[in-house]
Amino acid sequence: MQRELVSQITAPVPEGDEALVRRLRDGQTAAGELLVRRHCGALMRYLQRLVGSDHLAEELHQQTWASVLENLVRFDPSLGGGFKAWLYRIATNKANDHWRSRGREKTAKDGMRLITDDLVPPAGQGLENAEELSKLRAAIDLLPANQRQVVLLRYYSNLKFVQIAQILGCPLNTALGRMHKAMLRLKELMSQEARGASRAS
Amino acid sequence: MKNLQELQNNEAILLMYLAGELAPQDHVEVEGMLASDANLRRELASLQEMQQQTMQGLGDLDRQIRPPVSEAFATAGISRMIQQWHEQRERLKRTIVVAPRSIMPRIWLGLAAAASIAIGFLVWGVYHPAVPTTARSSPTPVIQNDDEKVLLMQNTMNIAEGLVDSDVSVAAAMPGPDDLDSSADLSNQ
Repeated sequence: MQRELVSQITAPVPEGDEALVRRLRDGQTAAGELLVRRHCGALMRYLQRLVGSDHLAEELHQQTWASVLENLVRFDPSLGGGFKAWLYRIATNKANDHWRSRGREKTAKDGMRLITDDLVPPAGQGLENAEELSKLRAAIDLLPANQRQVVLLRYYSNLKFVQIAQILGCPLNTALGRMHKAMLRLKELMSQEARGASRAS
Repeated sequence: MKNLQELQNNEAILLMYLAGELAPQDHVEVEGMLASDANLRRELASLQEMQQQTMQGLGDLDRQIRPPVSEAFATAGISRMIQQWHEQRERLKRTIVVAPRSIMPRIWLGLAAAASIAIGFLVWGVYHPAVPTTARSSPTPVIQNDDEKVLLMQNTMNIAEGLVDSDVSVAAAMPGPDDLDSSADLSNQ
């Protein structure tokens, strides 16, 4: 019991993002690497789902971190929900910039088709499950971009709705409305798919 | 934490309630509303189910689909980027540190020289007030002895008598205070 208490007291508390940013600014690159390790996976997945292309997601991921480094001096942790919110805002803006510059929806759909081919069902999982997931993925891609952003930000960044609204530059009620619509639409799309599949069989 | 009154509809309130992002007193208020409203409870259950399905579906996708590149590979790439950024910053810092030794003293020297000259002019100006050159060079009579005083008196009397003939040249030889005040008029002569 006593040992447990001691271990609880002495257990290292993970350093906050803002502290790591401060250390990175002071020239400690190891702190930056820790930040990258902490956010890299989820951020890459977020971009992958958002833009629907592996290649583009990787490119935007790199651009996002390059922007982070470039603007690190200007980052103010007291404004707008801390480092994570800032990081996702940069990533979202990068994706938006890309869409704006490239007739966006088309690119997203093309990319989506490309990565649908990468769907690899793990051993022991039936094709039916993979198909279901493929449908979900298609359904996510069919969501309007602003609804998709809210759902994906919520899932991958785990930020609060207030922060998500700030990232997207919209009122909180709008962000919540988009989330609700997105979930309804996903449910609808999935059930349409299911109906279509059962009719075909 | 957001105020309940700021939320537009039931969906917004319930989503915030599910996310645990309502202020404590609002959370209690919503619990009270749920306890007394069966429709709202159904709405909450439906919303909760949809949310779970969506989040679970995204989790399943992540388990099934490979990320664009492996996390280790991506981390290594960004870490290299951080190293390069750091080295570039250090180089820039060194350049900025060297600059004050070589350039800054020269700038300060130049400024100090300019300031000294300006102060010199100011001091010189105080001890040498600007007097019209013509006024200074005009022949102001210097009376040195009694003979000269007498001569001056006679001249003055002659002028007074001869004013009818308006002998301007004599008046010019004795400049009055009005003449001295207007340096412009004098300089134009």
